[in-house]
Amino acid sequence: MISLGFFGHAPGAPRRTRAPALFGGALLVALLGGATEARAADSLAHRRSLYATPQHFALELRFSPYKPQIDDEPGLRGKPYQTTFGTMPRLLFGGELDWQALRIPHVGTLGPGLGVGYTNMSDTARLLRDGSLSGDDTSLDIWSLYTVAVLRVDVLWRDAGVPLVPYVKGGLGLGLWRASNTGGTAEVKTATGTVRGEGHTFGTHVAGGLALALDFLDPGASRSMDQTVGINNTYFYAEYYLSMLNGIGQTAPLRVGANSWTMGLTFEF
Amino acid sequence: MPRPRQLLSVFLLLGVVLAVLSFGGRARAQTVAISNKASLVRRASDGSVVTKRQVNPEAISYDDCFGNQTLEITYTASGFTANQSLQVWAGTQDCKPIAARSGTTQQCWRPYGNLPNAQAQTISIPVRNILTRRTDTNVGDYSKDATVCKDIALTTYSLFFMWVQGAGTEPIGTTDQVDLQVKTVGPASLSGLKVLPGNTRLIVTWDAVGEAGTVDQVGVRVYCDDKPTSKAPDTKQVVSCPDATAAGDADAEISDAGADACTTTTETVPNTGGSCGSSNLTPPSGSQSALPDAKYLCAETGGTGARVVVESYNGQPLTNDQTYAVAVAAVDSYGNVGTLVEPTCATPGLTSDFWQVYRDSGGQAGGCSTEAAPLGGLLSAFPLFVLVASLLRRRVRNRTR
Repeated sequence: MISLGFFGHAPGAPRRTRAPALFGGALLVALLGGATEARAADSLAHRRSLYATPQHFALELRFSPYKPQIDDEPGLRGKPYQTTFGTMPRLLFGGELDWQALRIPHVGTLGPGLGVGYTNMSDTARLLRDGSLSGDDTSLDIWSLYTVAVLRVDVLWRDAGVPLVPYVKGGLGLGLWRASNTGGTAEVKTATGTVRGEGHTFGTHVAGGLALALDFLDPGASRSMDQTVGINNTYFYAEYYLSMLNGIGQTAPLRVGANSWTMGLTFEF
Repeated sequence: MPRPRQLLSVFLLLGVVLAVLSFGGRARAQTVAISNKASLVRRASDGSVVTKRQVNPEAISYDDCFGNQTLEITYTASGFTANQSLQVWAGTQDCKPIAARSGTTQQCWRPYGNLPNAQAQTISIPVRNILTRRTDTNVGDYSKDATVCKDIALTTYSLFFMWVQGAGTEPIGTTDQVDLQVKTVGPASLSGLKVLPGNTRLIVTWDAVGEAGTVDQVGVRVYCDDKPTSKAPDTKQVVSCPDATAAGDADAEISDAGADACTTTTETVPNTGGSCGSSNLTPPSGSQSALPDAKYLCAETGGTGARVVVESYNGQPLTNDQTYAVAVAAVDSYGNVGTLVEPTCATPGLTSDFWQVYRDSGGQAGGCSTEAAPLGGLLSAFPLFVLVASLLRRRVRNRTR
């Protein structure tokens, strides 16, 4: 509401040419405005400390466009992934559970996290002899798993009432993948035998993001949710991650990782 | 010492008792009882016991007749004399009245000759004899005649076991009967057959007939033939006239004046829909329900499903670049197969399967199963993080104390 009001009173002429800057400024002012409002409402952080239930975990619901880096494999002729599935990213959905094991005063929380995500790409295969549509489906399933150390810097929110929580993550990743078709797991016959279209790929996982504490919108509802179901904070977040599943120690990995952004909700409890 | 009058009374009483006993013995009713009517044993033409269907196991289908099955019926009898005979009559109405078994009103027939006058007996009656409906006076054996397997809508056929006196009368004593549901007509022909080629497979689809239970269909059989015949090309009549404005198809209006100058030619039109012919998938003439040879059966699906993937034919995997004719027919709960639809042809071939394209592009990955994926390697990192976090936490707590 505050941000809308801000945009409503912004100068009209320069808005076209300086729209991005204005947007960023508006968001910042809106948030600071929210913070001001929060402070004016008798120091939200201080009041929360009086009723807040213990907080040890964070649960993320994640939604992300996903396009694996299969075509980046060295030595490939052409782009087999793009040839088959096109250029449109697919939706990866998943979750992450963090244990906020350590609270660093006036900084934030630090702890391990475990995440899992799933995506699938599928299309109708074409006949090689004439390019017409066949009756076969071809698909690729990817399970993305990772374990990371998570640092959430929530000092702004807790101590200053500014509802922004930046965070970083870093750790190891594992991709489980399976290429299949109408007949089941895909197979290719080679001179040395049959190669099945399934396997795993190791890699690293790093991410950085910014979470917006939604509690400032309605402190009363936030307090009620904390006292009734134990959820201390609810965030909307946006994150950019590098899932570099390039095959640590593997000779022939399928590069199923992706560099992409994700957004969703985080619940701290 | 009994007096003569008393002796006379005793003899009279004894005589009455003997008379009653004698009369009772003569009047004892002839009985017959079928002991296995709830589950008749079925045998194939080679004598082997037939495994019954899950649904409608006691009913008779076209295949049961065409396969020349026999029904084994066990009965017990009593109270008969030498001049009485036990007969079995078949019909779709009550066969006990003599009018239903003789004369111009006869509508029942005898599927089996005179039954042995034995107290317990098992007889085998050919299904074809039950379905023959021939009302010959003499019992005929039609077990070698497959033409009696005609189309019969759902009808109850009954076998009446009855005692008759001499050549044939109203039944005497008790009778017993077995009721058999007979249905030899298969479901209606399916529509919307489509056959799409895949890599060493064919994906066959057809229009679903509705939710399960709304129609009597328990499955679909798919028949394939690797020696299809090309369908004769369609033709159309084309009328050509000197005046170009009057030229057109045969059904175009042409003025009477110019009609004499027009010529009609026949042109070939390419076939559409991939239709083709197959002499092997064409049912033999003479019966609508007749099926192709079992070796052409290449896939089956249950229920009202409308899709099946054919991956083998005659026990061998399908071959790429080999054209197959495909036809489908629905199966009802009695095991009757409906009319085959007109065959459609398709040719399997290599497809742009991702894994095939990837490997053809020089990709090297693959070959190891996800089942053996070292999840533990990843998950072991998590406890490591947990351990480090716990140690740090304890240290911080100790420091704050």
